[in-house]
Amino acid sequence: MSSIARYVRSHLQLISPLAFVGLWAAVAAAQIFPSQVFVPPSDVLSALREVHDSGELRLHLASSAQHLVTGFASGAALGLAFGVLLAVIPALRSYLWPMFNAVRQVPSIAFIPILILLIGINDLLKIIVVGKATFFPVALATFDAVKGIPRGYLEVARIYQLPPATVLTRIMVPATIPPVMTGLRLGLGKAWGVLVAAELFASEAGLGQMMESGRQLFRIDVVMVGVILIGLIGFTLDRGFSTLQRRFVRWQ
Amino acid sequence: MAAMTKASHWLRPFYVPVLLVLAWDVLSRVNDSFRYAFVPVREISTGLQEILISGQLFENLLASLQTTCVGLAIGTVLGLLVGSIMGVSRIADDIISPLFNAWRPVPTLGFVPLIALWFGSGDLSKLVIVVLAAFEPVVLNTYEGLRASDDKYREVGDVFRLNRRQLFFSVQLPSAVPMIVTGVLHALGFAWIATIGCELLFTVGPGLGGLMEHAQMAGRMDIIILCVVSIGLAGLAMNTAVEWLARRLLRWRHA
Amino acid sequence: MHNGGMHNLSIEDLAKDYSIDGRTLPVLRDISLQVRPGEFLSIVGPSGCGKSTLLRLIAGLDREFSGSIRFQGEPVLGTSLERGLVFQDHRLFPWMTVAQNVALAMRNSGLSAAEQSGRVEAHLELVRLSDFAKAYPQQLSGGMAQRAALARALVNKPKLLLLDEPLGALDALTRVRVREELARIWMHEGTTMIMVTHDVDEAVQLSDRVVVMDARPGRIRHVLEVPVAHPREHANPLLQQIRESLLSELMNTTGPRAT
Repeated sequence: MSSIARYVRSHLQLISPLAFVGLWAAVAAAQIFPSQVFVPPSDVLSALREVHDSGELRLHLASSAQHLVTGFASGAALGLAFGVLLAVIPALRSYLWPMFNAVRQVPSIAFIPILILLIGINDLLKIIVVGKATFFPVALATFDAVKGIPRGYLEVARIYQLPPATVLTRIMVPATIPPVMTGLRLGLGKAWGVLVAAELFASEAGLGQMMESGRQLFRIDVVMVGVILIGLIGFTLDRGFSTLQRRFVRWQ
Repeated sequence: MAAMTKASHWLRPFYVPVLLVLAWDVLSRVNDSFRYAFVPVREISTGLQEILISGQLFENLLASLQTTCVGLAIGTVLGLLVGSIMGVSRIADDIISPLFNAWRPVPTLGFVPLIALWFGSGDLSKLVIVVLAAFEPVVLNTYEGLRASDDKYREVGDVFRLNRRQLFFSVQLPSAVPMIVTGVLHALGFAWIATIGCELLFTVGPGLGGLMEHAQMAGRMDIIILCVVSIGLAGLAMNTAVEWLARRLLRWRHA
Repeated sequence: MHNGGMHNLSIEDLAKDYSIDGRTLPVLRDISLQVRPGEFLSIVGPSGCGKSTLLRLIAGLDREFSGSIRFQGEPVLGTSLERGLVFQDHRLFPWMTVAQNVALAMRNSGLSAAEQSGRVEAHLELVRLSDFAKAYPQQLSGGMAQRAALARALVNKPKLLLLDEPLGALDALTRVRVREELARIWMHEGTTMIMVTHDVDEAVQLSDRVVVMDARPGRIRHVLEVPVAHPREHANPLLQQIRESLLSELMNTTGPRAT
């Protein structure tokens, strides 16, 4: 293989996305598709600058962030509590588990129409929907984690007559943190997805709403900005969380 | 005595829902505006009869199921193709992975405005979104399944002089089947959610999501609730069916 | 009894290195061996002496070495249906039945479908697994699975069969039984067999010659002849003697425990 070919081969992972963007620009320049429908990367960049300069972007980001955080926090807190409760009090399971699973079956977005009729289109709607999306994976992961604490650990604790506080902090919590964090990460991903959908459907602000109005105005460049930002945020959230996860594990 | 405790145990799952339904009914009697939101139980049952008899529920359910199934099928085939290519060829993996990983973090429904601008607001767009939703888990699981395909089996293939095609179809792919099946199960869930989501967002065309949306605009809470229940039940039924199918396919695992 | 004449397998000045983290580790050095057609040869030695590596080189699974390996006069450049291999872990494909596993070996043999199914039947009978043709590997015991692997390795009627610690994963009782099966099959088929093992008992019981290896780097210490006719009685005094001397020799070599 020539040295150029070898260079390309070993850097394919970098070259590929660059080549993709290049191809994109070339196709747009060649006007193969109507310019309404296919905009070059440069248009996307200028649209980004546009929404940034007009202050619109900050508004949308703030709105999305606020609802995500509030919804996620409440859903996660409830999920943790529920999971622990059900794992620690087996008697409760036969009362609550079937209903839990039944509601879990229904996609979070399907609750939006009900909520619209109940409380109208407002912040609370998005928070509740995000909360629902977060609650179930977190509750499930917490339940599995707490229930799954190996008997062996608890028996060792009993043999050494460890006080309950120690058992809790030194055994139960560390044993459950990894799977619970995975559940939280999953919940975060779902929460973000549901928020975007809710903003597309019924919202006055937020990245989803920005894309929707972009669509209505046939501003495909704005829509693309939205898609890219949503992807970036989703990626950062997930990556950030898994880095946090690894920090926690190392800390033990 | 034993029979009674067994019965009471069996009834437990129903206590909380029944309580909620009663509470709901009480709330619906508080005043007129509450009655609007918390539709009385009786109205729900008449609503049920209405949409069942008029065939509305069935028609829309069928339409949703159809979209999901077709989208799932196409997404699975494409996913198998791309996942296989990536799993078998390092070069293809290096080229496609970064693009795939850039696309993944975007929630599927986030593509709706883009797809709507490109393909219009009709059934085609819905199908594209559902295919996108199903595609991702199948690619991932096919890829992982093939990559994990034990070196030790590949050596056996080497000893018997199997060529690349024989190796792929007789060794690598079968060893990846359990993971692929898991991928398809996930894809089913995603496809169903995407279907309902699209139907809510694109108000054109039949589907449970569309029915729900129209009911919401008409203020018919009873129909919405029935739709929600149907969505949950249908999702559960499909999941159970595919799991059963999977277990039959993977019989050799549990032999 | 084996016919004298042309050597089946001829290895000369074989050497192999592994490179780990930029450092080269010598694995085999100065390996020279002539294998007679139809003989049963064992290779024994302490762990780390490269005996499995040697087997894989002969099989053609590993293609990087210096020196020469010639099989039936031709240099070994890769795997071949003429050289079969039995792994320590049976490596039967769990998604295929026993019969399908055995048949897979003939996929590229050029035999007709009728011939193939005939051979599958014959070889399953040879290893006494005819009743389990339609079973899946998970349904078999360890010993049965290894016998199936043996059938699969023999179904192409290879001139040379390589066995990499074939009985290593089996419990003591099963090991003895399968060992006897192996001896019976060898006497029946007459295939040249080269077996790597750490079990001295096994090596002496089955082989015409035993290659004793040193470790680090792997070298042939010497080759022991076992001039006892087959079938062999375990209690044969000559075998006892050979067994004991081999054992004490290996114990002395091992010395301080190497990793």
